[in-house]
Amino acid sequence: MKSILFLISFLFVGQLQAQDTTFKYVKTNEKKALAGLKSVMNSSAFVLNDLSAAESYEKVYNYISSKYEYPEDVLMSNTPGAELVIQETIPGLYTMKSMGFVNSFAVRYRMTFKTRDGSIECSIASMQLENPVTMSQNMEKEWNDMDGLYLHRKNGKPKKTMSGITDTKIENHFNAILESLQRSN
Amino acid sequence: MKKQLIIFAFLILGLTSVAQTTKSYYNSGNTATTKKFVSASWLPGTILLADGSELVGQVRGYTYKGNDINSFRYRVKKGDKARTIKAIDCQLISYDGLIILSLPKNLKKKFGKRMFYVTLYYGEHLTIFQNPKAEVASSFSGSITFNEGQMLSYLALKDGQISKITKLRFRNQMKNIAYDNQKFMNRTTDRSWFKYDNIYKIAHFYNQTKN
Repeated sequence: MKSILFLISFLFVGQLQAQDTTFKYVKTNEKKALAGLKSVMNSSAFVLNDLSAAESYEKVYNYISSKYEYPEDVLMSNTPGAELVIQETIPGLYTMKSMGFVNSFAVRYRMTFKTRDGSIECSIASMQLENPVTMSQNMEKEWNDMDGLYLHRKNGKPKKTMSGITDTKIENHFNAILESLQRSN
Repeated sequence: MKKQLIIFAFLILGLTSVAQTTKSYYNSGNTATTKKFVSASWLPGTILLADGSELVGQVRGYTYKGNDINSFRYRVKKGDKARTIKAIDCQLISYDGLIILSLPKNLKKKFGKRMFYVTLYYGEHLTIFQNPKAEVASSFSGSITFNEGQMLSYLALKDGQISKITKLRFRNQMKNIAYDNQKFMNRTTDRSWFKYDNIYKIAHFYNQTKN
């Protein structure tokens, strides 16, 4: 019986440790011709608190309301007390520095807030990058899927134009959301 | 020992199980009012069949009538045998950032032949979808058109009723459809927001604020 209890507690602790509390880009071994080595960000992170699921939901909703005059514009779906899904477009979130020039593009993403007793799980999905080059004839933006960043060359050396710039700005943006949800405890 | 094993099995089940929720079909966020086409490439997609069950796998456009889609092909994965899905077989297809609805061919009749319609915005209360007969803005020699390629009319599905929305009479037509949502009606006074080019976001706001 003791061994079983030990195994259960081991599994439980293992599950808790797997929960990220920040968003961070990590280099992978996936290579793409010309682009280099791919870095990916963890798709979800947790805000740990001592609130009930309903209180956490209220907190997330208030956070969205404080950012937008009409929060309904960004809300994709909401299940009261359990889940909120938003879609935001952030101008200039994707930044590159090249030859002294800064190029910035908008990023669009979907973020899901799953509220549970004691935590809020924030997941990012469908991240897309504005593509101004292929702007359509009637001046509407086109969007390309962005499943990672190519921050390193094939030989593993970081790209000066992106590494520490593009990833940091995106990480800071998402971590600021987590901090805002944590701060108003 | 047997009892302990059963308790252990239930505990493991409790730790690993995740509540099953009904799937939501999200719009891609593509607000463009230009005509959207269904591609013929195999891409990940979901088909909601007429009986309410779901097929998840790879989908592609199969037969076309002009630019409009007539049927889809579905397979679980590459190498598997594909099957043809017609409008009568399903309610909805989510594919390539598009949501395609199966609705009656003759929109005045609820029964009879069905066909696929590509949605601009798919919502719980109000859905805006492409009008196959819509005119498309185009420039001619020597002129400049800022809205080239824009569809000049859409169809709106609300409470089982289908209405036509045209660029020319957009504000009145939309108000007639959405009169039952006070919060929405209050916002219609903002003319920079309440305009035809913003129809996707307008439909989204209506759905979000409709109780």
